[in-house]
Amino acid sequence: MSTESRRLWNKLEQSGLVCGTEPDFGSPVTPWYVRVMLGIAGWVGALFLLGFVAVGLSFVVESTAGSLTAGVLLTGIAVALFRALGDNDFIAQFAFAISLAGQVLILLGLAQWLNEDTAKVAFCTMLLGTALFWLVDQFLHRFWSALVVVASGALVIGSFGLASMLPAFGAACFTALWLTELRFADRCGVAPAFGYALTIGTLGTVFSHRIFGLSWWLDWQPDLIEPKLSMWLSAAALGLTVWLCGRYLLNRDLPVKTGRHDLILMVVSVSAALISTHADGLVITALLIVIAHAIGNWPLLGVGLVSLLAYLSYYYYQMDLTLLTKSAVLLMVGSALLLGRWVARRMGDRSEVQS
Amino acid sequence: MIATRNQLLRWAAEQRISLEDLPAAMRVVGVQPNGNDWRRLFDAMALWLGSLFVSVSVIFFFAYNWSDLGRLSKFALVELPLLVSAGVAIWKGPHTDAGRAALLVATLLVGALLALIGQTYQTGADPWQLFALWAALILPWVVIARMPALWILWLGLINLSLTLYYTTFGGLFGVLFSGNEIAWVLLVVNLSALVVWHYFSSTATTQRPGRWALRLLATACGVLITTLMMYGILDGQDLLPATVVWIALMWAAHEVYRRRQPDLFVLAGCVLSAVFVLTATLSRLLLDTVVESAGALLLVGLTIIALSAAGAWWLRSVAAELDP
Repeated sequence: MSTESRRLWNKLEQSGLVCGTEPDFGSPVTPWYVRVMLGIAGWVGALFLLGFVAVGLSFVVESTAGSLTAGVLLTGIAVALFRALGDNDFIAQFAFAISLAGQVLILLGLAQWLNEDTAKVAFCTMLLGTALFWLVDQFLHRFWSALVVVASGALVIGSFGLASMLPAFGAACFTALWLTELRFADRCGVAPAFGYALTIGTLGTVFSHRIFGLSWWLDWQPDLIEPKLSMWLSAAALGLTVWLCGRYLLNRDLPVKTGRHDLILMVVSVSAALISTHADGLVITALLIVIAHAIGNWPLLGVGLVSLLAYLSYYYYQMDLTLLTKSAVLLMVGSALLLGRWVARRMGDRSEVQS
Repeated sequence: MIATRNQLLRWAAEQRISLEDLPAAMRVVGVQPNGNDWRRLFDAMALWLGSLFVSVSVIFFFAYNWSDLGRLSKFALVELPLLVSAGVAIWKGPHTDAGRAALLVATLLVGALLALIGQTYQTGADPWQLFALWAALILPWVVIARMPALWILWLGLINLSLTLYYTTFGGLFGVLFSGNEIAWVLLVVNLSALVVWHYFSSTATTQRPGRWALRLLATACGVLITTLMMYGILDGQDLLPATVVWIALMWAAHEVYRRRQPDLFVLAGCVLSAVFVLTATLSRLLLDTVVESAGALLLVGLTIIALSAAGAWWLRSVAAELDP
């Protein structure tokens, strides 16, 4: 029985938020880095299993029907194993690996069947990912399925010429999901799994304005919206996301709000929208850091910090703007932040003196 | 904090806490921030991000290499902010947040200044010399600041200068073919840094500030020794010394991070390293003897699954021991 869990339970009981007998605390919640380790090992295992299929059952891989049948079979077996014996570490890891292998075979089969039409393959893959997301109640598998849904969904959206709107759309989605995560807490792991997938997918679109290295395909898709208009629409969407996020958190965490808070929020939202026209990654990663702090999710906070630093490196090599423009953007944003901090501290000191 | 958060979510899924009471529960145990927490966050973000962006903007500016700007103006544009930030660091003191942020700006601007000197006077210096000199010049500030992030930046410069040195002098094909030598050197440097860091820090808990830096160093060492082992197993390069060092480091990691300063993160890295090394060994033994054996691939795949599952089971049992 966990000491920390008991202490937590007692604290909640004293606050009147829980009652009744103490739960069977069971095993500690698996830390995120153990899940990452399992995920990496599972993928490597899946690659070897795929190698086995490719070498030993090459007729399966070469035929459309064979790939699809074998893929569906493997995935089905994986789902059955998860549902029946998912608590066993070895079975869970084995099921994860064969599910991955099965999904790759299905993808190969779909590509052959649909004549490598990326949009159609992506749509079918999205349906597959959605089904697996709901069928398998295991965090790692659910996260992977969500990632498949997000990636293929992005390709589908891109096929309609809306690739340039992906970062703003993704940021709005992950903001909404993370801030309402607790409403889905009765379905353990659903919201976090999809939240992490959305976050990583959105960051992927920021870093390449495409997803998972398929920019060569999306580059051939005509833009539905004229680039400048798309830039301003994305900026407006990000600004609105920041404003709504700020309003939600102000209502949640500040018992007494003043008009000053609303004014500051409006200024920040408009500034975020303007900054995002030249450096959307700065706004999106900063938003991620704020959200992670708001929900007390430290791994997500780490992702935000690392991605912000990585974005600065990426920004250096981005060809859309000159280094002079990028330097000006960073100088303005940095100076504004330092000035804002100085002003806030002065105002804070003054109100302390007055009180 | 994340463990507390995940525990509450698990209880909500088990309906031990109602969905209506869950937000209040998060507030009571301190997972959700209050007004003071938000003020601290925005203060820190404004200070550190503002400082970082301003100093990086200077670097970007000089990378643009604006030919219309005179030599004197260029040097003034980097030296003045450098002097100002150093002055702020002295005025505020190196142990205040503002002082440390100013030192961060100053250390980054030293790099910009060195790049400008190289750009202006065409000294013919190699890139590795720039980073090595940068690291040497900022060392006193890094020591004074006692800030994990600055130490990591400093070590990053050392690693980069060593890598660039070997890229320059490592032979015709650069990094790939002199990969082993670079990896050994980087392993010695980062391992020494990790040992020294442990020596100078007091007994640390997982939540202690700076723990992330120790984990980052441990991860770097783990990646390097695992890479050396993979080279040794698959290519036959330095297999014996790599094996000896790998076993020694795994034993040391177990002693330190299992018994003295428990840290599941590092132990998880050790498990992953063991999975990779044992898998590479098995692959070499099986796939070398029977070419294109489907059965061998299946066996290796199942072994990876079994090893990782066993590793996860062990890690969970260690976690349960640490939190009885």
